[in-house]
Amino acid sequence: MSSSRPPSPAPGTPESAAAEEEFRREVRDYCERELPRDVREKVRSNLFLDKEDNLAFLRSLARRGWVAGHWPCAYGGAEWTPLQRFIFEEESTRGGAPWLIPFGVNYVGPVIYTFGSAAQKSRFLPPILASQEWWAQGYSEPGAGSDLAGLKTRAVRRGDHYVVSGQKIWTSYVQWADWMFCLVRTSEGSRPQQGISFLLIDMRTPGLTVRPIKTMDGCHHVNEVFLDEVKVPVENLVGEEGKGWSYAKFLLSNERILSAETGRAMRQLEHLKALVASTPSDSVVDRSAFDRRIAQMELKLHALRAFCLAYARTMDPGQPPGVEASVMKIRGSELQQLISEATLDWLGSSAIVYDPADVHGNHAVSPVGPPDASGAVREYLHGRASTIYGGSNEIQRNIISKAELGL
Amino acid sequence: MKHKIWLDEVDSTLDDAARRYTAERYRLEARQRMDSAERRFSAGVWRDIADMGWLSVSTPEECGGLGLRVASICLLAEVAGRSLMTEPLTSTGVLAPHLIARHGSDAQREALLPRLLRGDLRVACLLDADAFHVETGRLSGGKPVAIDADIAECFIVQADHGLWLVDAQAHGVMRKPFPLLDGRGAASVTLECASATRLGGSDPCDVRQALLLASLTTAADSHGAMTAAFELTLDHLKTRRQFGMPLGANQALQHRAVDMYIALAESRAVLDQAIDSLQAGAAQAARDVLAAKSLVCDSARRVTQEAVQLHGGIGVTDEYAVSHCLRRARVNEQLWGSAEQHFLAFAATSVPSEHP
Repeated sequence: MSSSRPPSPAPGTPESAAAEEEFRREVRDYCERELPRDVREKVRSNLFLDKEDNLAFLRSLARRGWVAGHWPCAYGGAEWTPLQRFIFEEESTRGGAPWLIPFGVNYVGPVIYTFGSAAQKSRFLPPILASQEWWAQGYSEPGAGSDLAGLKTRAVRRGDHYVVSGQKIWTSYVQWADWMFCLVRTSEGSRPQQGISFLLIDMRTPGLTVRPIKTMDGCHHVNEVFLDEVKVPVENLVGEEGKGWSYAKFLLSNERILSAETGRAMRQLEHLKALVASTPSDSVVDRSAFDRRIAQMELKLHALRAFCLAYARTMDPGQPPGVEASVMKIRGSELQQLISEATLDWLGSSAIVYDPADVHGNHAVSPVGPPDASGAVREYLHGRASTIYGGSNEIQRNIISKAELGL
Repeated sequence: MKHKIWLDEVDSTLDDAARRYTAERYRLEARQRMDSAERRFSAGVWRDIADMGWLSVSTPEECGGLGLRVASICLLAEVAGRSLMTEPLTSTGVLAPHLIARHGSDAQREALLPRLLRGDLRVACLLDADAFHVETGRLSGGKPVAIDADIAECFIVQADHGLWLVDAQAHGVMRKPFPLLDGRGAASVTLECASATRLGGSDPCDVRQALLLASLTTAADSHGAMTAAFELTLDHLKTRRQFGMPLGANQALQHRAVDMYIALAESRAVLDQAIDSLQAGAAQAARDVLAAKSLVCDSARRVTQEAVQLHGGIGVTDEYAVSHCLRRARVNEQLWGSAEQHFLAFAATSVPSEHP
């Protein structure tokens, strides 16, 4: 395992800039030498990644000790600073690493080591680090999307079990999951946020049914999960009964630093520029207007990165994130959509041809246009969700309005 | 929004004093009662500014200043933008001492810098590579709109790779002053074989650094103007009641206010990054400054226009500050190279894509 301790000189000094640059080089080096080549090619071509692709990526990270770099050393992490975590995400994603599916490493892991029992820590953390158990997140429900606290899935205590019944929806990659962490209602409080508990559910438990939801890219990312009298041992309750909402908020705060996805925007913008340089368009007529559009996206990316870097350099990981996280989510998702829209505009007629089969499997190639045209279409279609998931951009604006502007 | 944490004592002292001074002594309502000459340029204000050290932050210590302090320059420009200050801070306060300290001879520095830093000399800078030319030591040419040339006693003129000092009263100097739309002033300057003194020796002067500094200062000024417009708007949304509730209770207006806030937060980050890299002389300094001027000016235009709209009728009046913020942002866009030119120059610094 090579070293990955955070650079620690004071921020803003030449030493800290050099340490940042050194860490970037390390991550770049990993992408070039250790990230499995076929995974990297699939990511760069925007193909659908299956479970094995994700696991191959995680195993290559594990060899560097980077699966959970931001975790405390005591639990197998490297205690990355927020800045280091940001740099890792940016450089690895830019270099062709997949999106690190967060449910185990970024979401439930920190909740368990912060609020869980000793038994839960020793039972659940090592398999997350070793990528031996896949986790999914049971949050949204048909009646509780943006208004998550309206969730209705009930857990009733019977002896040493909870009996859980209800329905979850938009559950990403639960078709691969061994476990699902779940927000359930254990009592009715005066406010909807009260009476919610945080349960860990073994996906092999009887009474669980998973039904796939195909999204408009023709891929299988999300599901419905039906829970019918699912028995969950009480030792799988995290923390205290009824305090689940605060753990959920803690969990969300953990992902916010990465929500801008600057690495993805950098990769997609580089991809677009390479496309424009190599392939004529049968749709775009005014090349200089299109170049200007690219330059505007470059400027937006410049601003987003300046904002994220300033935030990562000064944020206190012990504090809940401020509205900066909402700003990053809004701007990051808007930019990502602008880039994928422009890419399709350049591809013109070759981007109206789309068969989901052409984005599945290694070495999938588009039937017309450049070989990765279908991948670009998939990225565009899938990317329409980025302004909706993780708290829609409208909800993010509500948050800023209330928390920062006092409106 | 968190304010930038000033890195040293000088910045925090300057910032405190500047905010207090402008809040107490540079109020728009009071200034609107002044006669037009006083409102354009107040000698008393200029002396106060000099006393507070505003004119010393772009001059090296060995020349009697506080050093070239980019963060200080920008925080003061921000206060100037916020308080709609019409005095010639960028031209006389920042650029002129910077150019003289950098390019002037020892004798020129000794003669000019103390007067500039005390606030006893007003200088306009006519930096435009193609506007003027030299013939046998005399300058000819013209610049149709030169900010602060209306009140300057002396010009620094770029011509034939050199910088020249021209006395505003010298033979062959013609100027036609006019007001700018935000209350500041400019003049068209025409030189016909005007006598001039070259700044420094015969080495070519590179003004790119000075122009970056001017661009960044102007961006900071626009940031100040849009911050003021945003704060007024937020206050208006909270206090103005229609249909039995505050305007700000409408989600449609809340989201527009949030978009203004995001534009401000982004501008802040881009500005701070450019300040740091220009101060450090970093490789990406030019790109960062070009981005800052382009992005901040564009945001300032949109935010101040939106501020006027969200105010309703009062927003379009001359009496109320918000329209002044809009006008200031508009003027700033055109100073020291337009925002559009900065955008295209930024685009040109982007790494070209390689063929795959």
